[in-house]
Amino acid sequence: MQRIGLVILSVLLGFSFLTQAQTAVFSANASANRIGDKDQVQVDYTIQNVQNMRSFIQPSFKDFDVVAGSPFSQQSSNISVIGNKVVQTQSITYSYILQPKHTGALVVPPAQVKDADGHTYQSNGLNIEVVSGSLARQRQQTQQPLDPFDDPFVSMMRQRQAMMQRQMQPQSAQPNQKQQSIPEEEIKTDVGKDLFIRVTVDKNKVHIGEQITASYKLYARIPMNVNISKLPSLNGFWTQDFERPKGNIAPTEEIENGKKYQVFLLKKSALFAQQEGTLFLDPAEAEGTARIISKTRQRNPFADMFDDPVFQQLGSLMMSDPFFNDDAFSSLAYRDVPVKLKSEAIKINVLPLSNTKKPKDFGNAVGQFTISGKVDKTNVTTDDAITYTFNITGSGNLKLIEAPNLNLPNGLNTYDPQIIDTITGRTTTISGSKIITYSITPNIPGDYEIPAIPFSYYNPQTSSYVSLATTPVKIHVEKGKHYNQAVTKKQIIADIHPIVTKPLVQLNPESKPLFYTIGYWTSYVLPLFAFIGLTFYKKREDELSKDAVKMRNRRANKVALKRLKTAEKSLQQQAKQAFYEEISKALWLYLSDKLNIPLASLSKEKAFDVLKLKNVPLDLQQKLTQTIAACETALYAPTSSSEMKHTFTEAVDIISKLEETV
Amino acid sequence: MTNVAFAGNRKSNLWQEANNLFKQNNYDQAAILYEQIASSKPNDASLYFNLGNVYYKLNKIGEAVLNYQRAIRIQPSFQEAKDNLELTMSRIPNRIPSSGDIFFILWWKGITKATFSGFWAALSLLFFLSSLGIVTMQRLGKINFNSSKISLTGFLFCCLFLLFAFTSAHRKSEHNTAVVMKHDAPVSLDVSNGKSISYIPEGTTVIIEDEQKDNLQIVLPDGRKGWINKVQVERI
Repeated sequence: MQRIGLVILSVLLGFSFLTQAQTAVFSANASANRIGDKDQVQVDYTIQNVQNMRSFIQPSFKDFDVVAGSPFSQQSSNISVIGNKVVQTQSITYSYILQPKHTGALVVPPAQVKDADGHTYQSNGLNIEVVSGSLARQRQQTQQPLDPFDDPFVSMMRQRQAMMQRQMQPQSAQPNQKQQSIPEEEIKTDVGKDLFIRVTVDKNKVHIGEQITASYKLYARIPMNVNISKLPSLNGFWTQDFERPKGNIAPTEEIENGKKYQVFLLKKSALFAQQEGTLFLDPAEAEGTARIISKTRQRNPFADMFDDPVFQQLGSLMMSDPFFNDDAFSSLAYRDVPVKLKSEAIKINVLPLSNTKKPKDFGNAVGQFTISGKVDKTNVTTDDAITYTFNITGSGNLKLIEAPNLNLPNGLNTYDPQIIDTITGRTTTISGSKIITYSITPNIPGDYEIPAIPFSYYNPQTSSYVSLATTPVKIHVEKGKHYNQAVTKKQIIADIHPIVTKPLVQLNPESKPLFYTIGYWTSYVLPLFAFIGLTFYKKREDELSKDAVKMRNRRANKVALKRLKTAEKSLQQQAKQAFYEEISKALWLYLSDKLNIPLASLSKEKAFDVLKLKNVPLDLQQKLTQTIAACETALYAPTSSSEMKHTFTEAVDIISKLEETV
Repeated sequence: MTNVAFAGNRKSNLWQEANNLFKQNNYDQAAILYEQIASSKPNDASLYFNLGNVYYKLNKIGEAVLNYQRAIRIQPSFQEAKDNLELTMSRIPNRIPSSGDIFFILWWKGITKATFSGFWAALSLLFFLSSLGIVTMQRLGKINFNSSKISLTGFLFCCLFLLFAFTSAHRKSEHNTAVVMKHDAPVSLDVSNGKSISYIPEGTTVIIEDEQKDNLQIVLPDGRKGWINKVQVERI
């Protein structure tokens, strides 16, 4: 501790938070892992880079009393420029002062935070061993007395002040001498050897996703005050910082080229390459002032001796050794010069993972993992939801592992799973767990099986793929209160139905609708025409037959008159037989035509039936009977000419009267 | 005749080849072959169903929806096509929700669907001929009872079915449904005013109401109306 007195290092407070801004980290830290039951312990839950944080869920401290009644939070944010990107890092710390209730191995439960997007982050839990009595005093002795709250910055500031004081003493005794005489270039070359940043990686050739441990170290053998001005932008990597030792950053000693350096570990990160090819770790840069110690030739007793160029070099090496300088040469001049430090860029070859034997379900996991899967319940109704928790635990690129698909049978549905990454170990490898929570909603009652979830990872140590799988889970689903068949039927299928392979039947283009075809309308029109035609024909037929009756009716009178005229001639000639024949014919033909009775079927009875039907007056009927009878008897009996005249007038009278009535 | 038979034979060869390519996950090639068969617009729902599947696999949502709709148009009872269409539509980003029809419009649409056109036409003709037959018989005096009421009812039914036949035939011959084929197709309120009021996602099914030069007036699934350029859509 005393030897570091000359070295001043100031590190930006935000430095330790300067990880990739996207990486959300939620961790719990206790001020001590082993306490007495009378001691108090401070537990800090630190949330980094959680955007839009909503709520902090206080864990239930079963084994502890909360001394600091309500949690007090401390918020800090840091804006820095990495490469050409502005990265904002935010961190919130919730602190509790806890007092154990009893002795034993007690557990500080993990806390949870929720952000506006609905993600839940969970911190790690802590194990604290509680013994009887108090360990507080012992611990204070082992720790830095000036460091009650374990804050590295505070302790460093105090240390720095102490160092400055010590430095001021020789400086005040020997005020700056000959400062201007020392050329700048010379200083710079000296500084480069005495003060530099070096980045070391444990391997240069890795596979995608394999862990690389990178350490950023500041080597110094002169007093200096340096701020980190630029951290490497780790493009192409997922990084996770290792836990740095608590409290004071104790430098280690390293011998380089025979010289002793104080080595400060600035940053130690686990890098996981995300793409293949050659990636570069950009240089880290720091700015500040360094105190150059140069000999004063006039007063230095060894100065002449070192005039020789060979010794000159040797001398400068010796001179710049702080140990040497401090003790032996009080006559040396000091000078603060500005320095800019830059590490060398480091080339890393990233090899792709071998494609041979690559499992189908490989989801970028590289490292060493174990898996487990469990459901919260196996007997549910359609109203419930099942929570399936898939847990990946181990070391490696946890954050980059893709959530596997569940491949649920039809009837079970799930949405995007909730993923919680918890990094618990940050010592030599990054380890922790990825908890993927699937919410499964059953839609249709029945018995289902959640198939085994395959998970495979690449083990870089054995250079091989390892395949794991969970055991399948059987689920029994019963009808719930809100089960609705109609809604369920509309459920969207998981994948499209396969193609149809039966031969094509209908190769012709779409046919015209029947409605638009001529044939269709023809089958309407043709019967209609047929019907109309038939109707007309029938009508004409009817009409034609009706006309024939009329004609005969009309003709009847004419024919009768003709017959009566011939009968009149016969009456003048006194041709008795011809006369009565003509009268008889006239009457019968007239009746046949007038009553529409064919001559063949005409008889006295029929004729009188029809006459009765036609309401011919009885006296006329009698007259007709008498006249017909007279004609019949006259043919065989002798008749007078007056009788003949009477018969003639009677016949004319009957016909004219019938013409009127019928 | 031999020419037709030869063409049919060639098509069934193409069909088998395309199906094999599909099974080998060679969707690009399968799509080309299916489209070759489809170029003559055969009236087989299976072809359009498989085409839809190919485009679904190629993630061409618009084409997939179009072909599933064509398959359903030919064979409305094609449940697999309906399921696949629903699945495909669920993948449309910012899908416009369908407002749905009132029950009697749904009935009307169900009664007068395109595939029923032949049935209604035949039924209408049957009623016409029977009624005419009854009237003729009566005229000829072959039936004695008074049948005028029966024949009148028959003629009324004939007219009703004729209306159904007309509507469904109209539906069958007229391609007034279309699918938006371009991503975020702009729709404007006016023909002349090119200001777009909305952007329609690819794969949306719309009904065409009017046509003016290069623009079509469409009804969106949620009932909104607008004008869209012809090139943005494809009729089913």
